[in-house]
Amino acid sequence: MSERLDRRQFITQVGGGLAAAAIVPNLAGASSWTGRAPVRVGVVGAGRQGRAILGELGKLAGAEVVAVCDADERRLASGLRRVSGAEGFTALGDMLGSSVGLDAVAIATPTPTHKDVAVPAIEAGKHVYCEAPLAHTIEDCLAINTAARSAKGVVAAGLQGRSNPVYDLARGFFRSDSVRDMVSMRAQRHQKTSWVSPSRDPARSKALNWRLDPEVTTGLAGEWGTHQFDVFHWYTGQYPVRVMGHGDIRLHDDGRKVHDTIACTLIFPDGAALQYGATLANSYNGTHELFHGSNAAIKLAWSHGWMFKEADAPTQGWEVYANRQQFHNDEGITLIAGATKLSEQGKLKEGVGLPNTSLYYALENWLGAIAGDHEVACPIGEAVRATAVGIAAHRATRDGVAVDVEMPSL
Amino acid sequence: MCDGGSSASVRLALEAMGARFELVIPCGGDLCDPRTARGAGEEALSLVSEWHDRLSAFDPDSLVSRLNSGAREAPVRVDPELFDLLEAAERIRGQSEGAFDVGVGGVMRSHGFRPGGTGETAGGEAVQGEITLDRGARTVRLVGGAEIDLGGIAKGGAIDGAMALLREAGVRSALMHGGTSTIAGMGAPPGAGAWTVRLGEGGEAPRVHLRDRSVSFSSSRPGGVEHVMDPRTGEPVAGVLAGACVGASALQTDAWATALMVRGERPQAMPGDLTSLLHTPGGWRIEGPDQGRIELGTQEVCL
Repeated sequence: MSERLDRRQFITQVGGGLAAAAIVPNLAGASSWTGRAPVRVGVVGAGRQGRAILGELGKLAGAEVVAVCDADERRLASGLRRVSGAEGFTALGDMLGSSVGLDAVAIATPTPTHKDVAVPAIEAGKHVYCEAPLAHTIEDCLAINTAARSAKGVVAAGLQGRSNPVYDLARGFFRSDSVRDMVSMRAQRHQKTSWVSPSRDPARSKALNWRLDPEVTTGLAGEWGTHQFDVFHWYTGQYPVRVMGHGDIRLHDDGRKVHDTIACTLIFPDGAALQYGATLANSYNGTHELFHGSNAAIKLAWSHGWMFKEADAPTQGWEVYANRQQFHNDEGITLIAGATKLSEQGKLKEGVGLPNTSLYYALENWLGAIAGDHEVACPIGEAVRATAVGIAAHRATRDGVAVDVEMPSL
Repeated sequence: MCDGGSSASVRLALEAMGARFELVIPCGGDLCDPRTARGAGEEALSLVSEWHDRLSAFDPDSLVSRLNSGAREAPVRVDPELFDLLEAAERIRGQSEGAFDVGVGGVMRSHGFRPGGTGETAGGEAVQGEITLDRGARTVRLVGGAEIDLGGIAKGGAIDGAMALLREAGVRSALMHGGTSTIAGMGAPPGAGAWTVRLGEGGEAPRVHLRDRSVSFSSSRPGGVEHVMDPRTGEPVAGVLAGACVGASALQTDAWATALMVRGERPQAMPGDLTSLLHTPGGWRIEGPDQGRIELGTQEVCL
């Protein structure tokens, strides 16, 4: 843990304001766009994720969606229905060469096409936000990274944990020694869904169902796991060196070749292990990441976060003010967004979480970086590393073998 | 509801817009395969979820909530989907002579049906103000006390969108409902000519046969609470036991079921392709082109 601070250092740096303020994630910036022209954004890909990006950009004062691009005309039409005054394009080149006055491009196309969108957009001088995983091969990741290194604009990847206020808050505790000695790490994503996008047109069906195409998919480990693995990279400052995996089809026995349920173990250089499971067959306990330490455990669930302290862990002053939530035999200290304000308003209650989605904060962070307010939370280099881990984990679970993680040289 | 005895069907559900949405897609034979049915059904429910995120009056960060806070000072440009929905709602408001009004948000809140209200109002405050739409500029402006609440139309609109997605994916038979108040039937279940649903309880409740049709049902006391407000008076509706509407569009039937309940009669300007059903202490009154699809009887049907 190269970036780890000891508790004394942390308290010195945070100072006497540790009490209530320490449980308040930084939500500043949400309304800090006054007086500046919005960034003119084109969204490429108008499927479910693209429409989600359109929705979140619509909430941000710093963005104006001026173009939507999708090769699938039906998806393009549905995307255009969700945005006010944008022009539609079915070809990226047409959008980049148009006169809509594009400043930036947000990419939500299928993973195997990210490079073909990101590189031209970066080379056209646009700011780029690219969804993660960054690509389906290391070669494509490196091509995007090479373009990003000479980019005129701000290039960010959509590993959303890094810009999530609750995750940022919890990382402060993790690095302050609240967790103490790392015991183990666990994460899961459980969602009962099929990943099937039906279409009567065979060519369109193949294009829509790329996640179930063994030739190009990165499977559950790549498509979902990459986002979660990156949280552990960001917290620990390490990347796994080896992955052992297993996968199976437990529910969707519909002729697919891609596993609907996987489990894998990622081994980090210091010997710590991350156990990861993902399934399309069950939704229990949803999506979360867990850090087990000798003083406490931290559970993160994207809009929410909790700390579970050991009985013999030292007491910290701010705990007196904290909201708590019971989970069977364990009591979690809620890591709440805006705790002080909520408390003043009498709204501090169980289950309260972030007011916006992780995607919102990721896009807000990107726009803030474009405005020069700060650096991007997730630069492309980190997305290359996380994607490399995701691809290795996919190979391990697909083939039921142990795979050494080959971290590309950046 | 009956599924015609089909054992091979995909059933999916979702909580959204303060209601449970359920979807049944029969599979096999001439119908679609289970893989297509599940994938299409998931996309359809995902669309409902998107509508919830955008339009919910319960979510302070939804598009509608932000419109309510931002469209008072100046016109706000909105996306085509929301504009079309508001335009349809305003058209029905005019046709129903104010019996259906999506500007009723403040009234709903003051009666405790939406966040921020105490539920202790004495009532009697009609919707004050209006929603001004400019199609050329595609803008919305709220004038006076109008506050948008799409609770009377959004479920129907979402179901229309979901059914269109299912058709596009190759589904030919499906039944979908939102909170059991709006129900859409596509095609027919295996072995039957149509989907049959019963409106309300009791042996005399009408049975409606749906084949590429929707029905919406509004009654005065779900759970013992008067929840249908007359936008013209701000008071809960009284005198009519239930209103229902049958038609090709769930958006239309959803809104008109409420309008009928409030009016207590079929307005002259109600579109002729919609069938109205009104339940008063005197019995059921049914008018419109789908009368042949509706039965009043005592026979029990499967639910």
